[in-house]
Amino acid sequence: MLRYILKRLGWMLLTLWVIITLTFILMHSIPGDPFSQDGKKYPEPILKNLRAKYHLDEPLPVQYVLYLKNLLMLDLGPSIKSDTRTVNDVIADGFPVSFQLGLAAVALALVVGILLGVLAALRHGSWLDNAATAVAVVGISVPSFVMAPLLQKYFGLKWKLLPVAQWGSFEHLILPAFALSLGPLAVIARLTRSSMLDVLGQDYIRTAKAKGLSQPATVFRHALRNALMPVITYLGPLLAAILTGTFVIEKIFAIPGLGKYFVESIINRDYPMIMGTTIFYSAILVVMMLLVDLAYTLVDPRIKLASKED
Amino acid sequence: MVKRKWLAGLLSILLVASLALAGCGSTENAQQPGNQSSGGDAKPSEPQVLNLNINSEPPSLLPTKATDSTSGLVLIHVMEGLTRLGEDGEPKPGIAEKWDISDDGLTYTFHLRKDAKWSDGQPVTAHDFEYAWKKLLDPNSAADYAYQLYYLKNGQKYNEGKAKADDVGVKALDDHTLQVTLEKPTPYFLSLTAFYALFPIPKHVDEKNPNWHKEASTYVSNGPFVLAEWVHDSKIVLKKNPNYWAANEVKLEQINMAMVNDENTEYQMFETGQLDVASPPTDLTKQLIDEGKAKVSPYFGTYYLVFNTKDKILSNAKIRKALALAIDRKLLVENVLQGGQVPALGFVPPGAPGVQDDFRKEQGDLFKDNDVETAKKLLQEGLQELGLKKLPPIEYKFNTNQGHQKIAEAIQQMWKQNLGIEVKLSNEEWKVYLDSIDQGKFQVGRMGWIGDYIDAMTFMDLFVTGGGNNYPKWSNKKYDELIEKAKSSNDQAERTKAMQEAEKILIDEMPIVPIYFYTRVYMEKPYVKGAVRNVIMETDYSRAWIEGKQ
Repeated sequence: MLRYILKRLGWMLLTLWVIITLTFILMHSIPGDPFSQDGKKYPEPILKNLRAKYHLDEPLPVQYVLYLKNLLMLDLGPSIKSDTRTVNDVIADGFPVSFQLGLAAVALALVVGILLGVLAALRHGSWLDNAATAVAVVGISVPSFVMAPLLQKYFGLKWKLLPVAQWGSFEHLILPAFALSLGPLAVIARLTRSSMLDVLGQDYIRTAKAKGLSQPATVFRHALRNALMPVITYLGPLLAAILTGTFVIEKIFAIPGLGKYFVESIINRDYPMIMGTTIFYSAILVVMMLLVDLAYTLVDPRIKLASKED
Repeated sequence: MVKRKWLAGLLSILLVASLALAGCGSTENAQQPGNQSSGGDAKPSEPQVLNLNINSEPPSLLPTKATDSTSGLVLIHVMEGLTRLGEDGEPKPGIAEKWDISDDGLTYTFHLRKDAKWSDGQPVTAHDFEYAWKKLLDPNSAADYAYQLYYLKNGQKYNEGKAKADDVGVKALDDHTLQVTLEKPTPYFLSLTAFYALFPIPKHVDEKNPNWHKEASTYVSNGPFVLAEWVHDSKIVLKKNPNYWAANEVKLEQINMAMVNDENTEYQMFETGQLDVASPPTDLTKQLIDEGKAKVSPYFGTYYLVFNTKDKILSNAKIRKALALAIDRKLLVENVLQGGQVPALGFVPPGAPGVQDDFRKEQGDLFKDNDVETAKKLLQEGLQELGLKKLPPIEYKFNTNQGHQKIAEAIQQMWKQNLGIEVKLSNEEWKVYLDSIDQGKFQVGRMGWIGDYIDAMTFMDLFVTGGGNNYPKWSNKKYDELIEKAKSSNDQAERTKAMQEAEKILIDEMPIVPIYFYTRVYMEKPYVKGAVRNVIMETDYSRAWIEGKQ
C-alpha cells in the first residue's frame, strides 16, 4: 500500500510538471499582454519599466527556469494586477472561503442525492421515483446562474429570510451552498438510482433477502456499498472543481473565494496568477484522484491497489 | 485498476463566464448645496453611515500604483492631493491652500496648509509630495501612471533612466512650499494635481515600512476618512478622519464599501436597503431612467469606430466619410443603447474648457447625423477614385461583449440599408482584439476613450503621427502642427483654437467615426445628500450626508 502511494505521488509530480510546462507555453502564446488596461496604450518607457519589473523582458526559457526555481520554494510570485497581494496571499485568502462553501454544497449534494437515489430505486416506478426524477431533471437542466438570482429574489428580497449576498455568517452560506449543490445533487441521485437498480437485481442481494435479512440491512450493508462506486468516481473531479471555487456562484453572491481568479487572471493576462491558480487546481485534482482510488479499497475490499505488480 | 476521468476543461468554464464582464460603471449623482454649511445643524441626529458598492477589490491603495476606478474611488476619500475637483471640474484648494503660477506658465508654487495632518498626527509637508512624485517617476517603481508626470521638467527623462531624481522639476522649498517646474506650459496641470496618481505619500511611514499601504492596520492617510477595515475581496470600511484639516466639513461618520460585482445582486441589495447607491442592471436601465429612479450624468468619454487607413479601400477618405455619415446615431442611442448617451458629432465630449465656454459647445456639430444623401454621393466618388464599381464586403471587428455586439449589428444594418454594403461582423476576446487592432489586422473596429484629465488635449493628441493610441495609423501634417502649437501655448484662446481647427481636420478626414458620448447611470436613495459628481472623477462623498432616512 505504502509503495503504491509513493509511486502515485511520483506520477503526480510528473503530471504537475507537464501541466505547468504546457500552461506556461500556452499562456505566453495567446496574444495580448498584462499592461493594456482600458485599451489605453502606455508610452514605451512605461511599458519597458513594467516588463523589466516582472522579468517579461527576459527570453521565455529564462522566465520558465526562474518560475520553476521560485515554485520549488512554493513562491507563486507577485500578481501583476494587484499591487497589494501576491498569488500566495490570494490563494491563502480565497481558498478557505471557497473550501467552506464547496464542502457545504458537496455534503448537501451527497446526503440528499444518495437518499433520493436510493428511495427512487427502491420504489422503482412509483410516484416517488418520478418525483426524484423531476428533481434531477430540474437540477441538471437549470443552470446555477438562473437558480441563484431566483433564490435571491424570493428568499432575500421578497420573504427577507436570508441575506441577498455577501459572506460572513452561517446565513450567508445557505443560499449559495444550495444553488451550488443542485447540479451535483441531481447527478448523484441519478447515478445512485441506476447503479442501485443494477445491484438490487444481483444474486447476492437475493441471497441476503433469502437469509431473512431486513430490508434496511440489505440495502445499507450490502447494496449501497457497491452502488456507490460510480458516485465515488464522480466525486474526485467534482471535489476539485467545487472546493477551489466557482466563478458564477461566487460572483452572484459576492463571496470572497478563489473562483473569480481563474477567470480574471486570464482576462487580465496576469501571468503569475494564471500559473498559480492552474497549479493549485491541478494539485488538488490529482490529490482527489488518489483519494478516490484509495476510497475504492475501503468501499470494496475486492479492489486491491497494490495487487498488480509490474 | 486506476480509473482516470477527463482532466477538467478549465478554460471552457472560464470563458463562458467572461461574457459577464460587460457592464461595469460607477455611481453618480448631481446636487450640491454649495460648499457652505447645511443650515446650522452642526451634528445631524441620524446615523451618518453611507453604504456604497465598489464592485471589486481595489488592486492598489498606494497612490503611485493605483490605475483603476475602484482604487481611485477609495483613494479620493482617504487621501487628498494639492487640489480637489469640484462639481464643475474646476480644481479647488485641497492640501494646497493657494498657489502662484509664473507668467510663462512653467513654474507653479504651491503653499500648503499648515494644519494638514496625516492620520497618525504627523504634518503633511511639501516633502511628502516631492517624495511621492519622484517615486511615481522612478523607473524602479514601474508605475503605470508615471506618464502623468511627464509634464515635469526632466520627468520623462528620469523615468527613462536618462536623468537623475534631483533633476526632476519638483522641489520642497520648505515644509509648506512646493515648487514645480514644467517642461511646457500645461494649463490643465492644476486639475491633474487632483488626480490620485499625484497624491502624496507619507514619507516617514513609507521609508520605514514599504508595505504600509497593503493592510488597514498600517495604512496612514491625509484625507477626509481613514481606512478602518479592509477585508480583501469582501469589504472596506472608512471612518471619519479627525486629523483631516477640514474635519468639521465632513458629516459622514462611516462609509461601508461592499465588493459586489454582479449587477443584479447589486440592484437587489439596493432594493433591500443594503446599498444606498447602485448602478441599474443593463436590462432595466431604460425603464428605471423613464421612471425617474435612475439618473444620468455625463462622462468624459467617446465611443468611436476606427478605420484602418492602411487598408486598400479604407485609405480613401471619401469612403470613410460615406460610412461615417450613413450611421443614425440618434436611433442607435435611443433604441439600442438606452442609457441616456449623447450622439457624438465631434470627437471631444462636452465638459472640456474652450475659449470662454465649453469646447464642444463652441465648436458645435461638425457633421450631420444620418446624412444618407451625402453619404451615397461620397461613396460613388470614392469608388471612382479607387476605380471600383462596387464596394467589396468589409469586416467590422469588436471585442466580445453583448453591448458592442448590439451596436455592431445596428451599424451593419444601417450600412446595408443606406449604402448597400455587405458587412461581416467578427469578434475577439478583449486583449486579443487590442493586439489585432494595434497590429493593423482589421478594417473597421470599435474603440472608446475616457479622458485622463479635463482638457480637450487628452482626446486631441491621440491621433498625432506615430501616437501609441493612433490605431487608424493616420497621419496628417497640418494636424500634427496644430497639436504641437496647442501643446506649447499658454494662452487658452490660442491653444483652444488650434485644437478646434485640428478637430475639424480629423472629422473631415474621418480616420475615426465618433458614435456617442458616454454617460454614467446611477441610482441613489433620496436621503443621500451632497455627493459631488463631475465628468471625470469618481463620485466624491467626502462632504455628503444622510438626511431623512428615518
